[in-house]
Amino acid sequence: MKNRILFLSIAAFALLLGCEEEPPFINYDPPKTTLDTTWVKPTPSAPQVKQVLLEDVTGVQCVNCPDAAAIAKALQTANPGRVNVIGIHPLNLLPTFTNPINKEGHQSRQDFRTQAGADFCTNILGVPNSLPKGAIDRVKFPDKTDLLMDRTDWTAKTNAQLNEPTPVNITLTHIKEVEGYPIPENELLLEVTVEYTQVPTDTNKNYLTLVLIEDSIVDVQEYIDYSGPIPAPAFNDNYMHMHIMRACLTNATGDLLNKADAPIVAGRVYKKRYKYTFTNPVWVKKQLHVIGYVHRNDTRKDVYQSNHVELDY
Amino acid sequence: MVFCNLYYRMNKYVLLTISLAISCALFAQTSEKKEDKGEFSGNFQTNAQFYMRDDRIGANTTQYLRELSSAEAWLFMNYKIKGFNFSVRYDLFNNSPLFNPQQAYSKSGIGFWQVSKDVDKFNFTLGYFYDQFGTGALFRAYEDRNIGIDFAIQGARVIYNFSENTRIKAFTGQQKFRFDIREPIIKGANIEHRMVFSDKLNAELGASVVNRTLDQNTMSSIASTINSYPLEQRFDPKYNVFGYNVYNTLNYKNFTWFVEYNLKTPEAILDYSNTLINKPGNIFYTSLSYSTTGFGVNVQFKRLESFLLRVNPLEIAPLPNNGPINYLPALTRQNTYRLLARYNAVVQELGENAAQLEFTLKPTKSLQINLNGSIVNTLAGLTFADGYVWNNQTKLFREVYTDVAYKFNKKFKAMVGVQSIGYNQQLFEGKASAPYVEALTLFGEMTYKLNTKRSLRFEWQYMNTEQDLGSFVNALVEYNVAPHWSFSAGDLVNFRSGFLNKPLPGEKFEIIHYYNFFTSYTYKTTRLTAAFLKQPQGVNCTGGVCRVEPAFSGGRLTITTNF
Repeated sequence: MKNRILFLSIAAFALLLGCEEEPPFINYDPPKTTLDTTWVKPTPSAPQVKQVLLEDVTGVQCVNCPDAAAIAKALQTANPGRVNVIGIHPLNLLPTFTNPINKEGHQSRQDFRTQAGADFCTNILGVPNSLPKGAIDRVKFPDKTDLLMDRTDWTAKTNAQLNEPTPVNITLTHIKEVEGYPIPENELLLEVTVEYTQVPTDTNKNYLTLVLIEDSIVDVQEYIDYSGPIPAPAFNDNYMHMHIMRACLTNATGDLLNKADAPIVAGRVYKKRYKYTFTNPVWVKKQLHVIGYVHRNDTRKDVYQSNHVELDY
Repeated sequence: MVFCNLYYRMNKYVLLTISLAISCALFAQTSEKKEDKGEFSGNFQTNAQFYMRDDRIGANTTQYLRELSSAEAWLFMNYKIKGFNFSVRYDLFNNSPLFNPQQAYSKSGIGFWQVSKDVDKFNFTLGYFYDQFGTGALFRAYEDRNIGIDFAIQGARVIYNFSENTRIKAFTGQQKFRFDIREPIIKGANIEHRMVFSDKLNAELGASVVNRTLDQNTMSSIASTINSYPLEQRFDPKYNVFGYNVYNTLNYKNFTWFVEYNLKTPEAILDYSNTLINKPGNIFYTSLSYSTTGFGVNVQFKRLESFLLRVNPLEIAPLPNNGPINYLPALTRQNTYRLLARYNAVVQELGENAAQLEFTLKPTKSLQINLNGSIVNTLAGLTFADGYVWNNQTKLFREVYTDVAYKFNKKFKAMVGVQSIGYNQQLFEGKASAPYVEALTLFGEMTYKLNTKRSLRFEWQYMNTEQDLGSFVNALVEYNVAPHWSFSAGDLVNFRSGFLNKPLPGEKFEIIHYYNFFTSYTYKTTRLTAAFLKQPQGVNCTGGVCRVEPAFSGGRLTITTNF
């Protein structure tokens, strides 16, 4: 008995040491900014109207996801220009929902999954047990246990966030030429201006995240067919996928804005330019837009403000 | 009403604990045998402080400006029956500066609960517990309420007394943070074994492993911070850090030799510029002592490198809010006299070498001499390549101390001594422009017994320094009437300015008095104290753990009792 306990104790010690762990996302890529500057305006601008960010974690094999997409669409229609939606198809997470379809004669033409989407989930939003789930401004609401919520919560939480003031303005501009030289067709040059109209109530570090989105992609999607006597899963080969996240132009966890030598004060402006090279010929550039948002990334992840720009191709 | 408030604050676990305790108590009372009614015990402590603003000494934190008073209280209750042990403690903080001297913290509720049970050679504990492995350099969960420390673990612990000489224990849990717990998980195991070779030779061996696993929120913050660094400074942080130690105490005749080595795997730690770096850590510690009639000697050495072992590597708040998992006291003398204890070495978790030598001589029954020397420098201050280096870049702390005590007769005894201190104020207190403090202090004490119940004690210290706040003199007279009363009055006088409180050109330095009036009344197990005092800012240490505290000016009342 004694020997057995001693052996088990040693085995437990050994188990503690045995496993390799998966590190969090650390970006070893060189900076993508071509311009990075900051200054303080003597008189801060007026605050922008609040825009809300809805991150919809979704999948092509998720039968309830079209319903969630419809809720997102309704929110955008009800609040024109004030709700920015990102459709996240995380790579290698929840594969039964997110893997491309190849069954019963239906086959996905594109793979919407991205590593950046997976990084969003593992590092910020959390990995859900089921889909669809969504985060509203990355706020952890007091009555919820996670950032990611069921779609039935989206409308109420979005409306609540629309009434919140924002301490920061964000403006995105698609730069077509620099000093008379046009930007090549396979490149995107985006200028971001972030201006604090007041200091946020917390004094933590603030981050900027930029996401490339493509709309109006026709591809197969599973859904629930309610037309028969019994609701049943079905395939829509011509489903119109909206706000698909294609790439993240910044770190998945955001690029730090307020470095030590440029603290946040009212009137502080951060101006950055990001260059992105298109390599995937399947993407339709005319259907692309960029969403940018300023957020925390400490014990809370709250998004202060978001905005978007249609790309001029 | 008070009981109702208290009742509703308790969480379900506490209710379960108390229900079980009451059930057991009732069972014990109604049992036909009525053999074991259990044992109920506890203690109560309360501190109340009243603040009187004094800008001259820097007594102007929030309590002086707004709240004007603060209070803390702890009621601990324990019930033992049939191998069960039920404990619960109610904590109260009203505008308390304990956790952060710059803030007023108010909250009350159940601060500690525990259920433990002995089953044969096992002991099982659930709830909060305090414990430590070896010296605590790798793991220590402890409480020091007077400086706001309560690093209890909330979790489960199993102790197995394998044999009379061998004990194994293991635990898993989360560290307490005020009335909450911190997210990361801490687990560990320890084995200790005693070997007796002969009457004169025995050894006590021990080994431990501790693992801390970060939660996703904390790791996200760490990853974000690392992602904001230049590319060449980025690294993959670890969720898990492992720490190991082995230690042994060897007793041979009058000699005792202790040696301990601690090692931790690489993890993200903050350097002096609060930048995350990926480094492993280690501590080597050894002590050798010899004692015989009239003579004792103890020599100790410690080398510490990058051994920050915290619940969350991003915690930079000073004690008690930085959440250490382990316990790293300074390897220097713990002084009690007011001016001798003014400068204390604060352990540098990023790296230091420390050594201490202590002699105690008692050539006759009436005469005792103590000698102590300690020295602390940076890691660069002791290397194989350069040997020992003591200069402005490496020196951290130095103390040379001696006292001589002589008992003249049954009524009168006296003691005199001298202490020389070197203190790196810039590093220990974070004062950027402060020069290295060199202080010389003479001190003494006389005790005269007036009769069998009444005695008079007088202590004095004279400290000379040109740095920090300058030179001080302290004198105190104490009158004791056994067994109930004690009165004292003293004055600590800052009679000459130092580097940090130099008067402006054309102005004259004004002498500052830090008065101190104190009385205590003891009745059986209850002690009441009342004091009016002023005390200068500085490092306050208890049990070898130190923190920087602002000045104090005002009144203090305390009550402690055991039942």
